[in-house]
Amino acid sequence: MTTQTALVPSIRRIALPLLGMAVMCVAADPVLAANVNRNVNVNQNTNVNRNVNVNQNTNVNRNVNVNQSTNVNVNRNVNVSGGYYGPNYNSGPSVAGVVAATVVTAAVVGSVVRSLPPSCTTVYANGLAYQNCGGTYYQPQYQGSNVTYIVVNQP
Amino acid sequence: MAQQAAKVMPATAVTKAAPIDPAAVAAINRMGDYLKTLKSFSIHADTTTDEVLPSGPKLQFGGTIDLTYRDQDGVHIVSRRDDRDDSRFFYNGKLLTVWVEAKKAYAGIVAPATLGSTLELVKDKYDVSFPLGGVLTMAARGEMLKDVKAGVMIGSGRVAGVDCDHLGFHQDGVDWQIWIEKGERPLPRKILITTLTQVSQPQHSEILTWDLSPKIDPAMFTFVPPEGAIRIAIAERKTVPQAKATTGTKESK
Repeated sequence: MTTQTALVPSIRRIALPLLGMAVMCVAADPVLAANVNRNVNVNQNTNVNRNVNVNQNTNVNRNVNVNQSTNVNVNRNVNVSGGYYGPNYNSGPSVAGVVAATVVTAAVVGSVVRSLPPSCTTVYANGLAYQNCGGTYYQPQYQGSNVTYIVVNQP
Repeated sequence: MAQQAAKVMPATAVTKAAPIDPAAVAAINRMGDYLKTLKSFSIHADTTTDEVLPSGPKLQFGGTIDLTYRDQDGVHIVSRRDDRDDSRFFYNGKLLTVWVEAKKAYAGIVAPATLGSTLELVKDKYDVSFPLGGVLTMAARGEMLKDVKAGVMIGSGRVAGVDCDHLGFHQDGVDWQIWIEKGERPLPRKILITTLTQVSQPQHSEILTWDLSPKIDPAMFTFVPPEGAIRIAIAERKTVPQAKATTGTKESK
């Protein structure tokens, strides 16, 4: 009733009849009031169900992680194919594949990849060229018998 | 990785204690003395290189190296391999530059006083495989048998129809064999390197064709960056690159 007095007159015109109807229903039929309480209980049950769903989602996330591991292996296989058919493949020993997989997920500074992700821009610092690929900076370098890219802090 | 490393240990532990056969040493020295007398030469090399994939299989990639050498102050190399971008090396006595046209990238160092010390610097400080580095080292009056633990004269063999002496050497982590032309021109005609530090022992082979009176344009030893070329760094040698990679993988999991 205190909220009712706080309402401005224009809204009170609509709010008053509505509030009156609700009060009438509850007051006039005690059985209906009990049903409302039961409905509240049902809602609680629904909440429990939602919690179960959340748990299921967690399980799905775990599966996604497993898939990521699988993708790492797939990437290596793709590299192998590239070795036969593409000029950009660098069949580096195991280190290269492992490091490349690390960069895909974490872009750890100091890790080395054999090719860049798409959409990079060249930036210059200290007389050397760097690649900015979505905020991760790669420094191209001649290594072994190849150009590789090492992840660095922003130059 | 851990499994692989464990398997590698016994291979390196089996170090042959055999002495170095004086006949093998004599053959290497005779070849080295002859190479030092050459004022210029060019080599065409057909190469094969094994690469071991993380899952175990060993693949082989072909390639060529075309090298032009002028005594002490000129080296030009075009190195091609099926599995990577072509590299071009330039040495003019002052600067050593490598150019990778496919990436429009070049990297260079100021060379020390001699070709020999330049090759040594590249080998010790930088993580760079210098094409035909062994042959150049000998031509530049370097020492070929410094790290050799055992050596033997195996016998005779033919390379591209040329009669050769066949020799074998062992040093830490590496076995290498060499076929040296018999007769007046004791030139290396084939080199086969076996890496012992990996379970499947990948090999690298070079079959060499020589020209002892090549045409030389002095400009070929100096790199001039084309328009749009970018300068990049040269990776320095790391003592344990594999350990870093393994740690990185664990962190990502």
